[in-house]
Amino acid sequence: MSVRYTAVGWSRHKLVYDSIVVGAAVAFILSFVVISKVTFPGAHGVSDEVLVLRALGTCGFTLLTITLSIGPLCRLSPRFLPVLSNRRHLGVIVFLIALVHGGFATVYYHGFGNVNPLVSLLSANTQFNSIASFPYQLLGLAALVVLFLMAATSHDYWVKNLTQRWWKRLHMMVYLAYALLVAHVALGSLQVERNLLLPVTLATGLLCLAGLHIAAGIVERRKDRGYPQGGSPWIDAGLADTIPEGRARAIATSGGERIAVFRHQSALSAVANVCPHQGGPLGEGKVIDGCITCPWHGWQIRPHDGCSPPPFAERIQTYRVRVTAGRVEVNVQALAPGAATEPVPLRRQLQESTRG
Amino acid sequence: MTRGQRSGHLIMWLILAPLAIAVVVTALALRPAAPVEPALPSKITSGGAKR
Repeated sequence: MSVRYTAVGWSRHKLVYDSIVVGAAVAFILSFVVISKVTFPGAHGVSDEVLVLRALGTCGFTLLTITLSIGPLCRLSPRFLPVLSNRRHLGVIVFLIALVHGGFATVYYHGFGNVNPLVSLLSANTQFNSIASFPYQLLGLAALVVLFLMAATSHDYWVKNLTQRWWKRLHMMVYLAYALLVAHVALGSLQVERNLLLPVTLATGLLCLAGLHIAAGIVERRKDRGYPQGGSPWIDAGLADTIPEGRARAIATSGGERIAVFRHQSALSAVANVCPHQGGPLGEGKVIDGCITCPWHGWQIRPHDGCSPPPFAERIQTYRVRVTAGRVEVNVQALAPGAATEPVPLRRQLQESTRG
Repeated sequence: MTRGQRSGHLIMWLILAPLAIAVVVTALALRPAAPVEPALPSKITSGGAKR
Protein backbone atom coordinates (compact mmCIF):
# COMPACT_ATOMS: atom_id res chain seq x y z
CA MET A 1 0.00 0.00 0.00
CA SER A 2 1.17 3.51 -0.67
CA VAL A 3 -0.31 6.88 0.24
CA ARG A 4 0.77 8.57 -2.97
CA TYR A 5 1.54 7.50 -6.51
CA THR A 6 4.99 5.99 -6.98
CA ALA A 7 6.15 4.11 -10.06
CA VAL A 8 7.28 1.14 -7.98
CA GLY A 9 7.25 1.01 -4.20
CA TRP A 10 10.67 -0.57 -3.95
CA SER A 11 11.51 -2.48 -0.83
CA ARG A 12 14.43 -4.72 0.07
CA HIS A 13 12.25 -7.77 -0.54
CA LYS A 14 11.32 -6.59 -4.04
CA LEU A 15 14.92 -5.74 -4.92
CA VAL A 16 16.15 -9.16 -3.79
CA TYR A 17 13.26 -10.88 -5.57
CA ASP A 18 13.83 -9.05 -8.86
CA SER A 19 17.60 -9.51 -8.68
CA ILE A 20 17.17 -13.26 -8.28
CA VAL A 21 14.72 -13.43 -11.21
CA VAL A 22 16.90 -11.32 -13.54
CA GLY A 23 20.01 -13.26 -12.50
CA ALA A 24 18.25 -16.57 -13.10
CA ALA A 25 17.03 -15.39 -16.54
CA VAL A 26 20.54 -14.30 -17.59
CA ALA A 27 22.01 -17.58 -16.29
CA PHE A 28 19.33 -19.52 -18.18
CA ILE A 29 20.08 -17.75 -21.47
CA LEU A 30 23.85 -18.16 -21.11
CA SER A 31 23.52 -21.84 -20.13
CA PHE A 32 21.18 -22.45 -23.06
CA VAL A 33 23.68 -20.98 -25.52
CA VAL A 34 26.72 -22.72 -24.02
CA ILE A 35 25.05 -26.15 -23.70
CA SER A 36 23.67 -25.92 -27.26
CA LYS A 37 27.11 -24.98 -28.59
CA VAL A 38 28.74 -27.91 -26.80
CA THR A 39 26.01 -30.43 -27.65
CA PHE A 40 25.54 -29.48 -31.30
CA PRO A 41 28.90 -28.25 -32.55
CA GLY A 42 29.94 -27.37 -36.09
CA ALA A 43 27.67 -28.13 -39.01
CA HIS A 44 24.95 -29.64 -36.79
CA GLY A 45 24.56 -26.42 -34.91
CA VAL A 46 22.55 -23.32 -35.70
CA SER A 47 23.90 -19.81 -36.09
CA ASP A 48 24.67 -17.74 -33.01
CA GLU A 49 21.83 -15.35 -33.77
CA VAL A 50 19.26 -18.15 -34.00
CA LEU A 51 20.67 -19.69 -30.83
CA VAL A 52 20.21 -16.42 -28.92
CA LEU A 53 16.69 -16.11 -30.32
CA ARG A 54 15.84 -19.61 -29.15
CA ALA A 55 17.42 -18.99 -25.74
CA LEU A 56 15.36 -15.81 -25.28
CA GLY A 57 12.16 -17.51 -26.45
CA THR A 58 12.68 -20.55 -24.22
CA CYS A 59 13.55 -18.35 -21.24
CA GLY A 60 10.46 -16.15 -21.69
CA PHE A 61 8.13 -19.11 -22.17
CA THR A 62 9.58 -20.96 -19.15
CA LEU A 63 9.28 -17.87 -16.96
CA LEU A 64 5.67 -17.37 -18.09
CA THR A 65 4.89 -21.00 -17.23
CA ILE A 66 6.43 -20.51 -13.76
CA THR A 67 4.54 -17.22 -13.29
CA LEU A 68 1.22 -18.88 -14.15
CA SER A 69 1.99 -21.77 -11.78
CA ILE A 70 2.38 -19.55 -8.70
CA GLY A 71 -1.35 -18.86 -8.29
CA PRO A 72 -2.50 -22.50 -8.15
CA LEU A 73 0.54 -23.51 -6.08
CA CYS A 74 -0.50 -20.92 -3.46
CA ARG A 75 -4.06 -22.26 -3.52
CA LEU A 76 -2.72 -25.74 -2.87
CA SER A 77 -0.12 -24.76 -0.24
CA PRO A 78 0.47 -21.47 1.62
CA ARG A 79 4.21 -22.19 1.56
CA PHE A 80 4.35 -20.60 -1.90
CA LEU A 81 2.78 -17.30 -0.79
CA PRO A 82 6.13 -15.45 -0.49
CA VAL A 83 6.69 -15.78 -4.25
CA LEU A 84 3.22 -14.51 -5.04
CA SER A 85 3.68 -11.00 -3.68
CA ASN A 86 5.81 -9.84 -6.62
CA ARG A 87 4.18 -11.91 -9.34
CA ARG A 88 3.51 -8.77 -11.36
CA HIS A 89 7.25 -8.10 -11.55
CA LEU A 90 7.68 -11.56 -13.06
CA GLY A 91 5.03 -10.72 -15.64
CA VAL A 92 6.81 -7.50 -16.61
CA ILE A 93 10.14 -9.38 -16.93
CA VAL A 94 8.43 -11.99 -19.16
CA PHE A 95 7.17 -9.14 -21.38
CA LEU A 96 10.65 -7.58 -21.61
CA ILE A 97 12.25 -10.90 -22.58
CA ALA A 98 9.48 -11.51 -25.14
CA LEU A 99 9.98 -7.99 -26.51
CA VAL A 100 13.72 -8.55 -27.01
CA HIS A 101 13.00 -11.95 -28.61
CA GLY A 102 10.35 -10.50 -30.94
CA GLY A 103 12.34 -7.39 -31.77
CA PHE A 104 15.51 -9.33 -32.51
CA ALA A 105 13.62 -11.89 -34.64
CA THR A 106 11.91 -9.13 -36.63
CA VAL A 107 15.18 -7.33 -37.33
CA TYR A 108 17.07 -10.54 -38.10
CA TYR A 109 14.47 -12.06 -40.42
CA HIS A 110 12.80 -8.98 -41.86
CA GLY A 111 15.17 -6.08 -41.39
CA PHE A 112 17.46 -6.44 -44.38
CA GLY A 113 15.09 -5.87 -47.29
CA ASN A 114 13.48 -2.87 -48.87
CA VAL A 115 10.18 -3.37 -47.06
CA ASN A 116 9.38 -2.05 -43.61
CA PRO A 117 10.24 -4.93 -41.21
CA LEU A 118 6.80 -4.80 -39.58
CA VAL A 119 5.03 -4.81 -42.96
CA SER A 120 7.25 -7.70 -44.00
CA LEU A 121 6.46 -9.58 -40.77
CA LEU A 122 2.73 -9.15 -41.30
CA SER A 123 2.65 -9.92 -45.01
CA ALA A 124 5.60 -12.18 -45.92
CA ASN A 125 3.89 -15.48 -45.14
CA THR A 126 0.20 -16.07 -45.83
CA GLN A 127 0.12 -19.86 -45.75
CA PHE A 128 -2.61 -20.05 -43.14
CA ASN A 129 -3.82 -23.42 -44.48
CA SER A 130 -0.47 -25.12 -43.90
CA ILE A 131 0.71 -26.71 -40.65
CA ALA A 132 4.40 -26.87 -41.58
CA SER A 133 4.56 -23.34 -43.00
CA PHE A 134 1.94 -21.58 -40.91
CA PRO A 135 2.87 -17.93 -40.19
CA TYR A 136 3.52 -18.74 -36.54
CA GLN A 137 5.30 -15.42 -36.07
CA LEU A 138 1.89 -13.70 -36.04
CA LEU A 139 0.84 -15.85 -33.08
CA GLY A 140 3.94 -14.68 -31.22
CA LEU A 141 3.19 -11.07 -32.16
CA ALA A 142 -0.38 -11.37 -30.87
CA ALA A 143 0.93 -12.85 -27.60
CA LEU A 144 3.41 -9.98 -27.32
CA VAL A 145 0.60 -7.43 -27.71
CA VAL A 146 -1.34 -9.13 -24.90
CA LEU A 147 1.76 -9.27 -22.67
CA PHE A 148 2.30 -5.56 -23.36
CA LEU A 149 -1.24 -4.79 -22.20
CA MET A 150 -0.61 -6.81 -19.03
CA ALA A 151 2.71 -5.08 -18.31
CA ALA A 152 1.40 -1.59 -19.12
CA THR A 153 -1.56 -1.94 -16.75
CA SER A 154 0.25 -3.84 -14.00
CA HIS A 155 0.53 -0.81 -11.69
CA ASP A 156 -1.96 -0.28 -8.85
CA TYR A 157 -2.91 2.98 -10.60
CA TRP A 158 -4.68 0.85 -13.20
CA VAL A 159 -6.27 -1.45 -10.62
CA LYS A 160 -7.86 1.62 -9.06
CA ASN A 161 -8.92 3.27 -12.31
CA LEU A 162 -10.16 0.20 -14.14
CA THR A 163 -11.72 -1.17 -10.91
CA GLN A 164 -10.63 -4.50 -9.52
CA ARG A 165 -13.29 -6.38 -11.48
CA TRP A 166 -12.30 -5.07 -14.94
CA TRP A 167 -8.58 -5.16 -14.14
CA LYS A 168 -8.94 -8.84 -13.24
CA ARG A 169 -10.87 -9.52 -16.43
CA LEU A 170 -8.21 -7.78 -18.50
CA HIS A 171 -5.40 -9.70 -16.81
CA MET A 172 -7.13 -13.03 -17.39
CA MET A 173 -6.01 -12.45 -21.00
CA VAL A 174 -2.60 -13.72 -19.92
CA TYR A 175 -4.00 -17.21 -20.47
CA LEU A 176 -4.82 -16.22 -24.05
CA ALA A 177 -1.17 -15.14 -24.41
CA TYR A 178 -0.05 -18.51 -23.04
CA ALA A 179 -2.30 -20.38 -25.51
CA LEU A 180 -0.98 -18.24 -28.40
CA LEU A 181 2.60 -19.01 -27.35
CA VAL A 182 1.92 -22.76 -27.18
CA ALA A 183 0.61 -22.52 -30.76
CA HIS A 184 3.59 -20.28 -31.70
CA VAL A 185 6.04 -22.98 -30.55
CA ALA A 186 4.00 -25.91 -31.90
CA LEU A 187 3.70 -24.40 -35.38
CA GLY A 188 7.16 -22.83 -35.33
CA SER A 189 10.12 -24.57 -33.75
CA LEU A 190 8.34 -27.91 -33.44
CA GLN A 191 7.98 -28.09 -37.24
CA VAL A 192 11.71 -27.91 -37.92
CA GLU A 193 13.29 -29.21 -34.72
CA ARG A 194 13.62 -33.00 -34.69
CA ASN A 195 15.15 -33.23 -31.21
CA LEU A 196 12.66 -34.87 -28.81
CA LEU A 197 13.63 -32.53 -25.99
CA LEU A 198 11.52 -29.66 -27.33
CA PRO A 199 8.14 -31.45 -27.63
CA VAL A 200 8.71 -33.30 -24.36
CA THR A 201 9.54 -30.06 -22.50
CA LEU A 202 6.61 -28.21 -24.06
CA ALA A 203 4.14 -31.01 -23.25
CA THR A 204 5.48 -31.41 -19.70
CA GLY A 205 5.18 -27.69 -18.96
CA LEU A 206 1.69 -27.55 -20.43
CA LEU A 207 0.45 -30.64 -18.57
CA CYS A 208 1.97 -29.50 -15.25
CA LEU A 209 0.44 -26.04 -15.57
CA ALA A 210 -2.98 -27.34 -16.59
CA GLY A 211 -2.85 -30.02 -13.88
CA LEU A 212 -2.00 -27.45 -11.18
CA HIS A 213 -4.80 -25.09 -12.21
CA ILE A 214 -7.39 -27.87 -12.44
CA ALA A 215 -6.31 -29.43 -9.11
CA ALA A 216 -6.43 -26.02 -7.38
CA GLY A 217 -9.83 -25.33 -8.99
CA ILE A 218 -11.24 -28.63 -7.70
CA VAL A 219 -9.91 -27.96 -4.16
CA GLU A 220 -11.48 -24.49 -4.20
CA ARG A 221 -14.75 -25.86 -5.52
CA ARG A 222 -14.95 -28.24 -2.57
CA LYS A 223 -14.41 -25.36 -0.17
CA ASP A 224 -17.14 -23.38 -1.95
CA ARG A 225 -19.83 -25.93 -1.26
CA GLY A 226 -20.73 -24.09 1.93
CA TYR A 227 -22.76 -25.00 4.92
CA PRO A 228 -26.45 -25.83 4.81
CA GLN A 229 -28.25 -22.86 6.28
CA GLY A 230 -31.82 -23.92 6.83
CA GLY A 231 -33.97 -21.06 8.07
CA SER A 232 -31.39 -19.47 10.36
CA PRO A 233 -28.97 -16.79 9.16
CA TRP A 234 -26.35 -18.10 11.63
CA ILE A 235 -23.91 -20.71 10.36
CA ASP A 236 -21.44 -22.80 12.27
CA ALA A 237 -17.75 -21.88 11.87
CA GLY A 238 -16.24 -24.61 14.02
CA LEU A 239 -14.70 -24.65 17.48
CA ALA A 240 -13.81 -21.21 18.76
CA ASP A 241 -10.59 -22.11 20.50
CA THR A 242 -9.11 -23.81 17.44
CA ILE A 243 -8.69 -20.53 15.55
CA PRO A 244 -5.06 -19.52 16.17
CA GLU A 245 -4.36 -16.05 17.57
CA GLY A 246 -3.80 -13.56 14.75
CA ARG A 247 -5.18 -15.96 12.15
CA ALA A 248 -8.55 -16.76 10.62
CA ARG A 249 -10.82 -19.53 9.53
CA ALA A 250 -12.53 -18.99 6.17
CA ILE A 251 -15.98 -20.47 5.80
CA ALA A 252 -18.22 -20.63 2.75
CA THR A 253 -21.85 -19.57 2.84
CA SER A 254 -24.49 -21.53 0.98
CA GLY A 255 -24.15 -18.90 -1.77
CA GLY A 256 -20.48 -19.85 -2.08
CA GLU A 257 -18.93 -16.53 -1.04
CA ARG A 258 -16.50 -16.80 1.85
CA ILE A 259 -16.30 -15.13 5.23
CA ALA A 260 -13.07 -14.92 7.24
CA VAL A 261 -13.40 -15.18 11.03
CA PHE A 262 -10.33 -13.63 12.63
CA ARG A 263 -9.06 -14.03 16.17
CA HIS A 264 -7.20 -10.95 17.36
CA GLN A 265 -6.32 -10.29 21.00
CA SER A 266 -8.56 -13.21 21.98
CA ALA A 267 -11.62 -11.67 20.33
CA LEU A 268 -13.42 -12.74 17.18
CA SER A 269 -14.44 -10.60 14.21
CA ALA A 270 -15.67 -11.59 10.76
CA VAL A 271 -15.12 -9.87 7.42
CA ALA A 272 -15.59 -10.70 3.73
CA ASN A 273 -12.78 -12.94 2.55
CA VAL A 274 -12.03 -10.92 -0.62
CA CYS A 275 -9.32 -8.26 -0.47
CA PRO A 276 -10.41 -4.95 -2.09
CA HIS A 277 -7.06 -4.72 -3.89
CA GLN A 278 -6.93 -7.73 -6.21
CA GLY A 279 -9.34 -10.17 -4.62
CA GLY A 280 -6.76 -11.96 -2.47
CA PRO A 281 -7.96 -14.42 0.20
CA LEU A 282 -7.88 -12.33 3.40
CA GLY A 283 -8.63 -15.41 5.50
CA GLU A 284 -5.22 -16.82 4.60
CA GLY A 285 -3.49 -13.70 5.88
CA LYS A 286 -2.61 -12.79 9.44
CA VAL A 287 -3.11 -9.85 11.79
CA ILE A 288 -0.11 -7.52 11.78
CA ASP A 289 -0.14 -4.26 13.80
CA GLY A 290 -3.81 -4.81 14.54
CA CYS A 291 -4.77 -5.12 10.88
CA ILE A 292 -5.63 -8.12 8.74
CA THR A 293 -2.82 -8.29 6.19
CA CYS A 294 -3.63 -9.79 2.79
CA PRO A 295 -1.24 -12.63 1.92
CA TRP A 296 -1.03 -11.50 -1.71
CA HIS A 297 0.23 -7.91 -1.60
CA GLY A 298 0.09 -6.88 2.05
CA TRP A 299 -3.01 -4.65 1.91
CA GLN A 300 -4.39 -4.05 5.38
CA ILE A 301 -7.91 -4.04 6.81
CA ARG A 302 -9.05 -3.62 10.40
CA PRO A 303 -10.85 -6.74 11.64
CA HIS A 304 -13.60 -5.02 13.63
CA ASP A 305 -14.88 -2.58 10.97
CA GLY A 306 -13.51 -3.80 7.63
CA CYS A 307 -11.80 -0.44 6.96
CA SER A 308 -8.24 0.23 5.85
CA PRO A 309 -6.24 2.23 8.39
CA PRO A 310 -6.00 5.99 7.63
CA PRO A 311 -5.24 7.57 5.20
CA PHE A 312 -6.62 4.74 3.06
CA ALA A 313 -10.31 4.51 2.31
CA GLU A 314 -10.98 0.90 1.30
CA ARG A 315 -13.90 -0.84 2.99
CA ILE A 316 -15.21 -4.37 2.99
CA GLN A 317 -18.30 -6.02 4.43
CA THR A 318 -18.33 -7.18 8.02
CA TYR A 319 -20.42 -9.87 9.74
CA ARG A 320 -21.83 -10.44 13.21
CA VAL A 321 -20.26 -13.23 15.25
CA ARG A 322 -21.36 -15.12 18.38
CA VAL A 323 -20.04 -18.07 20.32
CA THR A 324 -22.48 -20.78 21.38
CA ALA A 325 -21.38 -23.81 23.39
CA GLY A 326 -17.78 -23.17 22.42
CA ARG A 327 -18.56 -22.97 18.71
CA VAL A 328 -18.31 -19.89 16.55
CA GLU A 329 -21.39 -18.86 14.64
CA VAL A 330 -21.48 -16.21 11.93
CA ASN A 331 -24.51 -14.35 10.69
CA VAL A 332 -24.33 -14.57 6.89
CA GLN A 333 -26.34 -11.38 6.40
CA ALA A 334 -23.52 -9.01 5.55
CA LEU A 335 -23.34 -5.62 7.19
CA ALA A 336 -22.53 -2.56 5.10
CA PRO A 337 -18.89 -2.19 4.02
CA GLY A 338 -17.02 -0.48 6.85
CA ALA A 339 -19.75 -1.15 9.45
CA ALA A 340 -18.16 -1.49 12.89
CA THR A 341 -18.94 -4.57 14.97
CA GLU A 342 -18.01 -5.33 18.53
CA PRO A 343 -15.32 -8.06 18.54
CA VAL A 344 -16.55 -11.04 20.59
CA PRO A 345 -14.15 -11.68 23.50
CA LEU A 346 -13.34 -15.34 23.29
CA ARG A 347 -12.50 -16.16 26.89
CA ARG A 348 -15.67 -14.66 28.42
CA GLN A 349 -17.87 -16.27 25.77
CA LEU A 350 -16.27 -19.66 26.32
CA GLN A 351 -16.74 -19.36 30.09
CA GLU A 352 -20.40 -18.37 29.64
CA SER A 353 -20.93 -21.22 27.19
CA THR A 354 -19.38 -23.69 29.60
CA ARG A 355 -21.53 -22.44 32.53
CA GLY A 356 -24.64 -22.61 30.38
CA MET B 1 -11.41 -14.06 -5.80
CA THR B 2 -15.17 -14.38 -5.75
CA ARG B 3 -16.92 -17.69 -6.27
CA GLY B 4 -17.84 -16.70 -9.84
CA GLN B 5 -14.20 -15.91 -10.68
CA ARG B 6 -13.04 -19.22 -9.20
CA SER B 7 -15.63 -21.21 -11.16
CA GLY B 8 -14.84 -19.31 -14.36
CA HIS B 9 -11.16 -20.00 -13.88
CA LEU B 10 -11.69 -23.74 -13.49
CA ILE B 11 -14.01 -23.92 -16.51
CA MET B 12 -11.51 -21.95 -18.60
CA TRP B 13 -8.71 -24.41 -17.77
CA LEU B 14 -10.95 -27.41 -18.45
CA ILE B 15 -11.46 -25.98 -21.96
CA LEU B 16 -8.00 -24.50 -22.51
CA ALA B 17 -5.94 -27.55 -21.48
CA PRO B 18 -7.43 -30.07 -23.98
CA LEU B 19 -7.34 -27.42 -26.72
CA ALA B 20 -3.66 -26.64 -26.14
CA ILE B 21 -2.78 -30.33 -25.97
CA ALA B 22 -4.74 -30.91 -29.21
CA VAL B 23 -2.79 -28.12 -30.95
CA VAL B 24 0.57 -29.61 -29.87
CA VAL B 25 -0.42 -33.18 -30.81
CA THR B 26 -1.83 -32.07 -34.20
CA ALA B 27 1.27 -30.00 -34.95
CA LEU B 28 3.46 -32.98 -34.12
CA ALA B 29 1.35 -35.50 -36.04
CA LEU B 30 1.06 -33.44 -39.21
CA ARG B 31 4.59 -32.10 -39.44
CA PRO B 32 6.51 -33.20 -42.52
CA ALA B 33 8.81 -36.21 -42.20
CA ALA B 34 11.83 -34.05 -42.96
CA PRO B 35 12.00 -30.39 -42.05
CA VAL B 36 11.06 -28.11 -44.92
CA GLU B 37 14.14 -26.15 -45.86
CA PRO B 38 13.09 -22.57 -45.37
CA ALA B 39 14.04 -19.92 -47.83
CA LEU B 40 16.69 -17.50 -46.65
CA PRO B 41 15.52 -13.94 -46.33
CA SER B 42 16.26 -11.96 -49.39
CA LYS B 43 18.33 -8.86 -48.91
CA ILE B 44 16.24 -7.20 -51.60
CA THR B 45 12.66 -8.33 -51.10
CA SER B 46 12.75 -8.98 -47.37
CA GLY B 47 10.18 -11.25 -45.76
CA GLY B 48 12.38 -14.25 -45.04
CA ALA B 49 10.90 -17.42 -43.66
CA LYS B 50 13.89 -19.04 -42.04
CA ARG B 51 13.50 -20.31 -38.52
